[in-house]
Amino acid sequence: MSPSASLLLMLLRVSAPCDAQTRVVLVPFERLALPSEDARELEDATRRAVAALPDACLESREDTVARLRGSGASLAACGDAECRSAQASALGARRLVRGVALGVGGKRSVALTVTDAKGTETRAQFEASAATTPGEADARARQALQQVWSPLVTTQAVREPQGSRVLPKVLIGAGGVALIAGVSFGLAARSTESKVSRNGGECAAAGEAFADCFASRLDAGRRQARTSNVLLGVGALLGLGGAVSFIWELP
Amino acid sequence: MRTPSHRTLALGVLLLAGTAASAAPEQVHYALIVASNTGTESSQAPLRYADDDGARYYELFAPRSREVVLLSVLDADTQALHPGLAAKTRAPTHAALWDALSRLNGRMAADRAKGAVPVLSFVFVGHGKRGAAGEGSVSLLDGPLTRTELYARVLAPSKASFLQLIVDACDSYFFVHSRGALPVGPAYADAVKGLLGNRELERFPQVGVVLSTSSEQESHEWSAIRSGVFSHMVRSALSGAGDVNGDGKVDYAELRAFVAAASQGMDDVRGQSRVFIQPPALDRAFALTNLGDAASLGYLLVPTGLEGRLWVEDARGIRVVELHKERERPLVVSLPVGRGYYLRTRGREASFAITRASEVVDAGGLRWNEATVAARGAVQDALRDKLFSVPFGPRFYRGYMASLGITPSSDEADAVLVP
Repeated sequence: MSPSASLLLMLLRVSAPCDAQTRVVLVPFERLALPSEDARELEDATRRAVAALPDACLESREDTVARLRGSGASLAACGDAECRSAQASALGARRLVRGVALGVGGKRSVALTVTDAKGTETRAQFEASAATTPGEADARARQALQQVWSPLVTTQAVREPQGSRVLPKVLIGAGGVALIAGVSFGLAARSTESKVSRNGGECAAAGEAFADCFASRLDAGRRQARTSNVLLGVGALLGLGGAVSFIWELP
Repeated sequence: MRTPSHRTLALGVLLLAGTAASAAPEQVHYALIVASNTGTESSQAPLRYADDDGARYYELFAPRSREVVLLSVLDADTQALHPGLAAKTRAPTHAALWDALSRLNGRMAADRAKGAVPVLSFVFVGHGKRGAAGEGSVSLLDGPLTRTELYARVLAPSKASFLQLIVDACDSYFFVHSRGALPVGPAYADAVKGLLGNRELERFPQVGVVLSTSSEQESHEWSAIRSGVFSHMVRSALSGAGDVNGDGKVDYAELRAFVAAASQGMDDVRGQSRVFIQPPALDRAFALTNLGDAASLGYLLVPTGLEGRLWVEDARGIRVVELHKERERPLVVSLPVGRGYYLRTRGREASFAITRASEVVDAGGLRWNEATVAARGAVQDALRDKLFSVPFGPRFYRGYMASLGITPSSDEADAVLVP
């Protein structure tokens, strides 16, 4: 993905509100042995790479800086992953991305730390020399991030079906609809039966025409009764299936 | 069509001129290390670790220098710890010193002719004394190197654009193995005057000085680090631990503050450091080392949040870097390539390796285990407990410089976060 496309995607995402399950906060990088302009370039490349991740809703730098300033300049220096994870939660973020931009040994590099609000923490690095184009820096940042991002996504993907319970809902819903339809057909069949038995099926004509009319009303009643029985049976089966799958998917 | 092309040409010329004007000339580093365990007088007890210090200064400067000369006689233990190094050394004699200086001056003159900025680090580790006439000297194998010779044959003819003079004379060592008082030793101020002479130094504005001398006339080495303590502090600072503002450079003010912090906990007067650190008058912000320069070194990133007294030992058991880090800032230290290391703190250690140049190891991702190395004997307790007992970082640096009435030349300590 080109940097401009990434930027567009980022802007689109920024305009939409982020929820706590997808919000990612990228803390302005620390820097060592590197001018602030170079460090900002590397931070921006990382920011674009985070924004391009499928399940990330990246908070804008301005919002992050404003919130950090509001909470006292910078985040407290945590000594362990548990503390950093608590910081992510306090910021209402699912993940917190930190980085140190380095300019040691004549090379530029970034050391990244990704902390999940659930406690997981992973680290990655990438190099991007001064001669590296912005596109290459983006690609290296993306590659580095994917190494640490993938396991978190996989974990989430496995857990999602367990929590959503889509199948039992569908089965029970369909079963309910079938039962309602079955009852409706049953009532219609009973009405037809009543008319046929009391008023001769409300057939006005006499003779052969009456017999045809009566037979047709009788057939209609039978069809309605048969349909009702089938729907009630199917509805019962679907409801039973929904109940079984609901119990099966209990955590 | 003609006008735009002229404009483009003019813009190109301006850009080229601007680039040429803004590009700093290349610094080329050399180091000449003289390390001698022996004194020139029979009353001077031999040192144990001056040769070790010489070997470690060699390892410190070699990856970032075009040429490093080591004049020392390495003892058996030191040769075993530094295989192959003995073959590169020459004895610390006057002849070897003049020969090395002559060759290095030739190379530095050529560098200057090409527009480069040659920087020479001249390091002496060994015995020092003041003669009857008040002239200071340091001991070479075949006799004293006097102050007169230092000025006349080392500083005056030097072709270096900047010369960094690091002197760790025997009486500057902190004390662990007391060998008794040396016969006559200079007091702090006298030693500075005796060896250098402040007025004479003013004639060499390109020379910066890092000098240690203690108030007591006893030699202080620490067997736990197989080194003189002052040299251990200097090497730690120059490896990056002294970079308080995160700009990758360690200047003279930072080194001075680092040494002050590292030795502040030593309340025993015998262990207190007496240092004289003065930047080159030509450029008081001149850096003794720059981690940003290309070098065949690896790097250990100690991230924000990791704090306390930390030290890095290599697989040989040599303590390479030591520091007491403040929690609120990251720092990076340089380490030689191709070795295994242990990052240690009290009771815990984490192993790692530097396998290639420019590799950065993030200490935040290391797996810590219970330390397997036991503390040494009780005689080491004072240094083990009190050295590096004060955290060094922006807070200490600001307070220390304020106490000296000095305004730091660059205060980027608050700007570690990218604006």
